[in-house]
Amino acid sequence: MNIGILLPRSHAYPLIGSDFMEGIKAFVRQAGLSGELHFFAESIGFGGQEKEVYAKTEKLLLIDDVDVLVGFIDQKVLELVKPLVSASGKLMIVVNPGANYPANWVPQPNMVTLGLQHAFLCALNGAAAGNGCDVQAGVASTFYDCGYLHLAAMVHEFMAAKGVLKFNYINKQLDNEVFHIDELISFLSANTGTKKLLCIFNSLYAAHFYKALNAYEKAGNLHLYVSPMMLEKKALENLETGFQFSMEGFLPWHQSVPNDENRSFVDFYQQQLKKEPGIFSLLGWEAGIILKEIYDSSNSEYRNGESVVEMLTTKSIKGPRGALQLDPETQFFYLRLSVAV
Amino acid sequence: MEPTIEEKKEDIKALLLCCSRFAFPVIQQLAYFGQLGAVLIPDHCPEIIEEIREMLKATDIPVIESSKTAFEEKACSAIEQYQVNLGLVLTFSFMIPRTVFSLPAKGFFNVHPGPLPAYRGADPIFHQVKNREKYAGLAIHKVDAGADSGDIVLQEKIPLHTDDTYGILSEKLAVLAVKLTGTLIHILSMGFAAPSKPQDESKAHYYPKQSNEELTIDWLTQDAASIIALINACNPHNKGAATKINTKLIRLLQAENIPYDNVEPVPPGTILYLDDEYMDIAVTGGQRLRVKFIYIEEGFLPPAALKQFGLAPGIIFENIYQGKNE
Repeated sequence: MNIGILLPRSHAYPLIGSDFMEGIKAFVRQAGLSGELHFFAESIGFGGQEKEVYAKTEKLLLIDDVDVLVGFIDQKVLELVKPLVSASGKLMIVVNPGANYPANWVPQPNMVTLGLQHAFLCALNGAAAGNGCDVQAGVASTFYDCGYLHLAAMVHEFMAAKGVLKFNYINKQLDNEVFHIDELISFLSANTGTKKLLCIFNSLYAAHFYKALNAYEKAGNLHLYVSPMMLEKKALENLETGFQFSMEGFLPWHQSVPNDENRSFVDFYQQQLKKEPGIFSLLGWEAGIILKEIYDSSNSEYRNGESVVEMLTTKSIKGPRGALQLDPETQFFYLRLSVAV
Repeated sequence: MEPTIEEKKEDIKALLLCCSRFAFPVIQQLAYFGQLGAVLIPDHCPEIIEEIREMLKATDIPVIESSKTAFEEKACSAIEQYQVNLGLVLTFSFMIPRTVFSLPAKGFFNVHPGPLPAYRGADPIFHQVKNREKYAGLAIHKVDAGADSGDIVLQEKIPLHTDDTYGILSEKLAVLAVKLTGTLIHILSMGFAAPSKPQDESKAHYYPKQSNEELTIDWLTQDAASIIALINACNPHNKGAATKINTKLIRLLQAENIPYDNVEPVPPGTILYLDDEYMDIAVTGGQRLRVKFIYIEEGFLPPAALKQFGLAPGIIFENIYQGKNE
């Protein structure tokens, strides 16, 4: 079975594409399918280059004539390649962090989506922030992160509980500028009654944010509700003396999740690859699990996207996050795991 | 400096053919982005012509009206005169000849307010609502010599709710049409051909224009859900689903199904209750229909207006067509 893969690039996560690809290949190796599954990978840059995304998708589907397409692609860019995928009739597995919702939840018949459910996890955290005695909070995020719907999900659930939003702080700095949160500190100093912060930063900016906030003399009064990427190792690695503030959030997965599939995944990385698996390795590993299921169960009909989708809706596939179950209404894989931190 | 990929976009100028308000949001979008070359409308749609002229009055985009006989010549002439390289159809009452649909360099596409190939025909919105589909659809296909039979480029579905009327669904699909034509134009402007696939003829169904009989209630055979679907499918374009008492034609505009708690069975179509707020009618299968708005020649009114014509509980609505009720 030939599999085309659209790999992204990211300023915040330079290894996103290679981690994902390594995850797929690691699973395929562990499953003993290296001779059966063949990969054709194309980089699609930073996603905003739509012509490149379209051209690479066209190449994989028409020239390389792959049987199945896996696209690490955001919902917005996905709209552009839908006609190509639909015309091909082949299955596309869309993977992404799940920070955006689709414009329309009614799916294309030959597409399925596997994500990290970031918007959903942010919504859970927003609801947690909106409950309790103190319901006031401010938002702290970046211009970049506001391009996704995870912030909307968090704020919506915060306010749907009984939360009262006091301010929005959106950091607009570019990569080459010295990071600071002076405006936020000014506001917090003048409004000491607001002690909760709803925070969404990518891992890179989160590390800067934590450091800058920790320098605020009254940071010990603050409690942060943070997005999943703010709990990633990279975000926390500069922590030398500990944080004055407290925080909580939800992760889509953790190394310590106690099931056989997760142990197998983590062990393979630690023992065979001599490294720790990350969140994008997990996404690749899970994509590999789904590809194996397609290869094993579609009776060589894996070029027919609609019949593969139909087959997948009947399966419960075991993975490191528990059962991967395809919802027939939306064709999203839903996972029941949320790790509270 | 080498131009970036995004700077190489090609200009799009569309000739848009239409004869209903379904096209309005797409017209506005194309006009806003400078992608509308001209609009051509059949001359039997004076209201649509007037509304589009009003919509585009601040632009220099021509609005052309045409008879059926002059259509081919006027369309070809507009394509040439306004440097049109794309043709778009959003509900149109004339067949489009090959001499027209083969002219624009980027192609000619029909934005069809129904899923294909299951809902070919002139009025798929009516039939999707009447058939109580769970999802309504919109398809963009290449125009060919057949009726809604060209290769499909884009197709998407949206949920169809049980209380969606013809008018509401039409608006929802018009918004979806903006999104999908936007995607089509984006692909074409990047220099790619529109990807497409042939329709599956084994699944094709053509719905001819609905007959008057299709727009009327059959009290003997239709249950509450199918009558409500018909009422919604007829609202507003037929001013409601038709029925009658004696010679008085009455159109039901909105209704809901409520639990039936009468002990004694009565014939379907019997008025069970009539007051200032609503009218309840017995329906086959022991169901009850609650009606809150009607249309009669005297106007759009609450059912209480029927009292002045002698309607009261116990009177029975009739089927309009012979053999359907008695």
